Amino acid sequence: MIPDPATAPPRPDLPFLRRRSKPRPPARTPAAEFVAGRGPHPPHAHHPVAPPPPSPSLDLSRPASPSLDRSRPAAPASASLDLSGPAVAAAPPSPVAAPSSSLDLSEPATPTPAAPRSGPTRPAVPAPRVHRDRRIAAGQQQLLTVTTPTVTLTRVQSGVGHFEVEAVCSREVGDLRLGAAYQLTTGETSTVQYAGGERFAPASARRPVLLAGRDQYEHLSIDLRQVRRLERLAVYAFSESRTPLAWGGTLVATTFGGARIELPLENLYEGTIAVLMSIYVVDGEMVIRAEMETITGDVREAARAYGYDRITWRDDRTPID
Amino acid sequence: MAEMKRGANVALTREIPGLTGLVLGMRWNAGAERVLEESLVFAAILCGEDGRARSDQDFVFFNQLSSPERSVQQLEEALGGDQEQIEVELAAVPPAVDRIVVVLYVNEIPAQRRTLGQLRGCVIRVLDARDNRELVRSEDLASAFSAETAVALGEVYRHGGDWKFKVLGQGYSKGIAGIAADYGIPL
Repeated sequence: MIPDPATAPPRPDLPFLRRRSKPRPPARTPAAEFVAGRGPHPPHAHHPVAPPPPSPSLDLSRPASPSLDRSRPAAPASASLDLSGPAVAAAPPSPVAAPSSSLDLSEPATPTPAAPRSGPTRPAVPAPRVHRDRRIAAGQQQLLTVTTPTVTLTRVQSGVGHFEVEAVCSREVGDLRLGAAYQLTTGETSTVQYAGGERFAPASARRPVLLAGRDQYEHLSIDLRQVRRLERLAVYAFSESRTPLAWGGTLVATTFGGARIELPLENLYEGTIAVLMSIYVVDGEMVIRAEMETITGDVREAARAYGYDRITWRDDRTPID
Repeated sequence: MAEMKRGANVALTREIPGLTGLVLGMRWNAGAERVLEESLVFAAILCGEDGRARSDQDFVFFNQLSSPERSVQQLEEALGGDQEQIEVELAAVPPAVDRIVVVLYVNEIPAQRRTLGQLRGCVIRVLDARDNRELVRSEDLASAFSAETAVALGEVYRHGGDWKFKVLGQGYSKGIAGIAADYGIPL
């Protein structure tokens, strides 16, 4: 139990706890921003520095320098990010600290007293999405092909209900079985498959993130309540008897809202195992990608081919859990 | 401490001048039902004047911890006493947003069917964000649940120039799908 904040001793050393009771800083200098972990190292006028790597707390979603450069029409448009010496030297004198105004993207250069500002600056417009991939709406149907191999779910689609992947195939295909190699954010990595493997991922979990099952067809379920534990998975189909499959049928992925993402399997090269689909969780959004690659070998080689190289194996089909 | 029945409302900013931010705190008691407890999701929906979300980004929950303009934010770890907390900074709520509805639902997966009827306690609280003081709390809503898998707990809404809070306690047997249909969340 977390102690009640009304009676708990203050923890000013933990910045993530300060949000609700934090007194507003009188002025935001680049040095203070740097110490608080919110900004890049302040440059020195004498030592030109290279632009720092983009910091997650730098609010780049705002239009480029809305208030920093307008007072200086001579400055190039990119001056707000140009941390080299001349741009800093060109900054106008300010009552706080001269070099700060060209760096601090989160505060207007001319404070407007009318606007009460408590907390980080808010973007005037909704932040643009991280990905520009194809989207899918509830009830829609989309085919993943060579030219359009990916579709990205929203954070809501990636976090509500469950996500199903089903191999809809007739018996003529052969003894096709479905499985997936997975990696969690904790680093746990293994495979999950209904036939001759672990049905749950992680294997000993009371509430698994991934679940392999079979009704009419073999299928995999992702419990999206736990999507933040999931990093990636690669869905494969294989022949249980190791005889080459006459590839056919369709891999159908279904969102909780009923959108269908379909992947026809006819065009795979002959073989006993193929990686069909990969799913990566990127900033809370699931990116679904058609892989459609026949692999020489078995589950072990398929997993290694897709970078699941920290799984250890008892044989070419069975990981050690 | 004021305990509000279903349907009761309170004029927050009129009663408490200077109120700038709220914390909506969720307290539940799932007893020994660990699977139910781990399946529960507390979320907020920013609704326009038509009572519906404007886009998927108006749904604030564990996988989308903030609305785009950051007026409504969910804490990854609640501060003090509640299982979950969502903070609302009133001045930052976009003018187009008329109300903020907070909901609790059971994330359903096929093999593990759980309902809110298994809850032994379910209370929504409103705190002053400045000092974590409890302003109001709902009555225990759990006693009325049976087969419901989602509930609209309450709403913070504009009224004249003020913000009010109302306890809803509206249950849904279709779970989050029913809430999504009513509030226009694109699933």
